[in-house]
Parts: sequence; structure tokens; C-alpha cells
Amino acid sequence: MDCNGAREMLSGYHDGELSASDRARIDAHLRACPDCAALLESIARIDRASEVPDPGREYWDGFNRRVAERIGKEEVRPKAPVLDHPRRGWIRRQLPYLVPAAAAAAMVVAVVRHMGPATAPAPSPAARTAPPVSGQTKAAAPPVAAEREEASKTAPRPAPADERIAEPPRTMAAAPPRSEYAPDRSKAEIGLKAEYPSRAEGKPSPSPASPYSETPAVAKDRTAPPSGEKMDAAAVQAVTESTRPEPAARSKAGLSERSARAACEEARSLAAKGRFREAEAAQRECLARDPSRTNQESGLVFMAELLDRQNRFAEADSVIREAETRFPRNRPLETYRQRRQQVQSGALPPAPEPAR
Amino acid sequence: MEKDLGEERDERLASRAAGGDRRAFDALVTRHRQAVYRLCWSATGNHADADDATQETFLRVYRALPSYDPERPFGPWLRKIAWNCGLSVRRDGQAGVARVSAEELPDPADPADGPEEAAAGNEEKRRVSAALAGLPAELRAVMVLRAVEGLSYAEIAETAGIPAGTVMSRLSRARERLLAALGAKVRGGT
Repeated sequence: MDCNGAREMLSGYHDGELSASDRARIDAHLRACPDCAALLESIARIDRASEVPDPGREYWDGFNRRVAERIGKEEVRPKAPVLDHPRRGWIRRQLPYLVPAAAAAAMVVAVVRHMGPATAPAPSPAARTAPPVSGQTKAAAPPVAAEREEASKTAPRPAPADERIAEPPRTMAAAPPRSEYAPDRSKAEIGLKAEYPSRAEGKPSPSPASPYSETPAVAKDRTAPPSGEKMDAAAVQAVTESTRPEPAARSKAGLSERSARAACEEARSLAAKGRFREAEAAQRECLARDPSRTNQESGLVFMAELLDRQNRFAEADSVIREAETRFPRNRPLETYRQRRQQVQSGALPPAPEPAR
Repeated sequence: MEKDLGEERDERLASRAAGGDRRAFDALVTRHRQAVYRLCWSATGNHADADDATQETFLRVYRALPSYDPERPFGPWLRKIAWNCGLSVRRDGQAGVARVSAEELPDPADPADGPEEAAAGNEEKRRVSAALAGLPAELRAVMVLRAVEGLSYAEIAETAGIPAGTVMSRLSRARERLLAALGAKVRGGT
């Protein structure tokens, strides 16, 4: 063996990573070549001198707290629901505001009708002093029987307006009422005691599969409005209806079969290119458009994978729970569970684009 | 209690943390934060990005704990996440360009050496660290994982997602470059 050949292998020799035969050849060369022996010594010195600059004690003293704060902030941050029932929860939370609003609207309509179009629409003193929250029709109840009757007729009318109010403005979707989150947020930011906010704390029945996936605040988030994509609501509807498809729904699905397939294929294709966020949007469309059992069973699992690949593990947990509930003995899910850890760590690349 | 946690295996701590034990997670962070930082530094080459990536690593670990399988070793799982975080931060910023300042370089003193030897050793370490920071990211990373962390080629290959043969060739190139950068001062031996 000459020096060039030996030097190529010195690094591996130093690390003890050569085969026994290569090692023996290098040993023999080193005994006869002081230059290569000196080079080997230099390699060893470089290794010994190699260090990563340590940021120092002050940095480490606050490190765990900083991590805890980031975790705390993340856990109280509202997350877009994936396949839950966002509007229902949102309406429930808005009831304290919606009920008086509806009542006031009913009252105004009643008063205007009672006074007639030519008269100024001044509310009666009794109406002005009506309790703000005491039930939809009660709040609107004027003192006169005729008015009461009128009000009871008009009370249901604000319903469309109510629905319009209930439709969350998209900009509000990501910012639910702050008061609901403020206590958790301040606790996390202050970094009290144990520093790491427990995901199980205060949770009535944590799921054994993902005990950390939700704080109480995050659990509320599951009923929070969507993050701005109309497809969320459509996906929810498609998913919830898929177990009991009606003929009309089936024919509707049949009509849009081609576009459903296109959306599903697009989702896979985008995922293969690593464009997971866009793939997620396409997959939502795929789930919304094709409510068939086959598509939903595998599609939910694929959605979970897309979320995992975006490090949105808690949301992926929710989707997996949904898939478990709706499709017991879900084979795609069982398969995914075996490789999920690798997906989450980034060790497993996305599946290649399917051949068309 | 602390002592108990300190003696627990990583896998057990991870399992406890997944069950809601905040102290177990804290113990895991304390135990691994420096190694994770070094790995992230090896991927990024500067403190600011390494800091970002290190915190992000533990954030991801925390999120992923519910799906962590305690039957599998914790270390490689953690390293893989840290590596991906390092790459991710690097992609967001200056890809693989080391931004190292003199202040970032270590100034360690080996108590086993006398004052002169320590000073010489420190100087050598500063020079090697500066040269290391200036290596291309893929060479710097394998060098840190091997020379600093003491990982085997197989472990490096698993962490970085490259074949073991590539680890060997990259290490050889990294050492060549370091030797060239440092010149005769190191090459001259003792």
C-alpha cells in the first residue's frame, strides 16, 4: 500500500471503522511510514481539539424555562380544528352576546310595527328597561299584550340575522375571545413552579393515546372557528354525513366524482413534493367531495400524516381519533401507526407521487 | 425525587413525560440539551440558529411524546428530531454559512494541564473550533457528530440520513480541510 492509498483510509482507521483486513494493511504501512504516522497523530489532535462553543452557564440556566414558555404559548394558542364541528361551539360561546342581540332586534321590529311607519320608532320606556338577558322572547316582551303577540311572531325572524352574526368573520377565526385564554397564557408566560404546563391538567378525561394533545384551553379550541378555509366546514359536513349517505348526497358525490379524484390525486402529488400545506388543503377538498367509506377511511389517515409532517401533532391526534371512531379496525390507520414515529421525526420521506 | 429522575433511563422518563409528568420532561431537557445544542450548532454553524433549533427540538419532542414508543431508544429519536430542526433553521436562514465570532469560540481550560500547556491547548482549540465553524455544513456536521459526540458511523448515518460510506468520505474530507486550514501548527505534532 502506498501513502495515497493509506491516507484515504487513515480517517476510518482512526475511528476504528475499517474492516480487519484494511486495518492490518494500514498497520503495516504505518510501521514503515513516519509521515503517515504523523498524519494519523494530527488527526487525533484535531479530534481532541474539536469543540462546539458552549453558550455558557447563563444561557443554560434559563434554557428550560424558555422551552417551557414556548410550550405554554403553543398550548394556549388556538388551533384550527381539523374535522370537528367548529361552528356549533362558536355559536355556543357567542350565546351571551347573540341572545340579547336577537332580543333587541326583535324588540325593535316589534316597536316599529306597533308604532307604524309614519311614527318615529321610539321604544317604549318599558322596552328600554327590558332585562338584557332573560331568554329570547322574554327579553323582547313589551308590556302590551298586542306587542307581546307581535314580538312572539317576530322573535323567530331574527334567526337569519342571528345566523349572519354567528358566521364568524374570518379575521376573528384565529382569535377567539381573549378572556378564555388569558389565565392559561399568563400562567405559562410567568413560568410558574414546574414551568412546563401539564397537558393533562384540568382535563376531564385525557385520551390515553395522546394525553398531552390538549389543554383545557386547547380542548375548547376544537370547537373554535376554522382558520379561514371554507373547506373546513365542508369537510366536516362531508365527514359527518359519510356514514349515512343519502341518495341525494350520493348522486351529488357521483356528479363531482371526477373533481374529487382530481383533488385526491393533487393532495398525493403535492405531498410527494413536500408541499404539505397545499396538500392538506387538497386533501380537505378530497374528503369533502368524496364521502365514500373507502376514501374517508384512508383519506383521514393521510390527512393525519400531512398534519404530522407539518409538526401539528395534536391536530393529527384528533384526526386519528376521528378515524378510529368512525372506522374501527382501520387498516390504513394500523399501518400508519407503525410508521408514524418516523414520519414525525422526519426520518421517513413522503411516498412518491403515484403513477397515473 | 430529583435523584430518582436523574437515575431514570431516557425511555422511562419519556414515557412518564408522555403521561403528564412535567418534571420528567424537564429532566430529559436538562440531560440532553447540551448534546442537542451541539448537534444543532453542527448543522447551523452559529449560536443564534443553534439556539432556535435547540428550543424547537424540545418543542417538537414535547409534541411528539404521545406517539413515542418507549420500546425504541430515545437517543436516536431525539437526535433525528434535532438534526431536522437544525436543517430547518439552516434552510430558513443562511444555508450552511457559519457566522461565528471570536466571542462564540470556547475558552476552556483543562485543569489537568499546567498554565503553559493549558494556554497552548486553548489556543489550539480556538483555532480548530474556528476552522470547524468555517467548514461546509455537511462536513462540519459529521465532524462534530464523530469527534465531539463520539457517534459511530452507523449512528451518524442514521442521524444525518446518509449512507455510512458517505459518512466515512465526508469525515476524511473534513479532516483534510481542517488540517489544511490549521497548517503545520497542528500537523507538526508534539
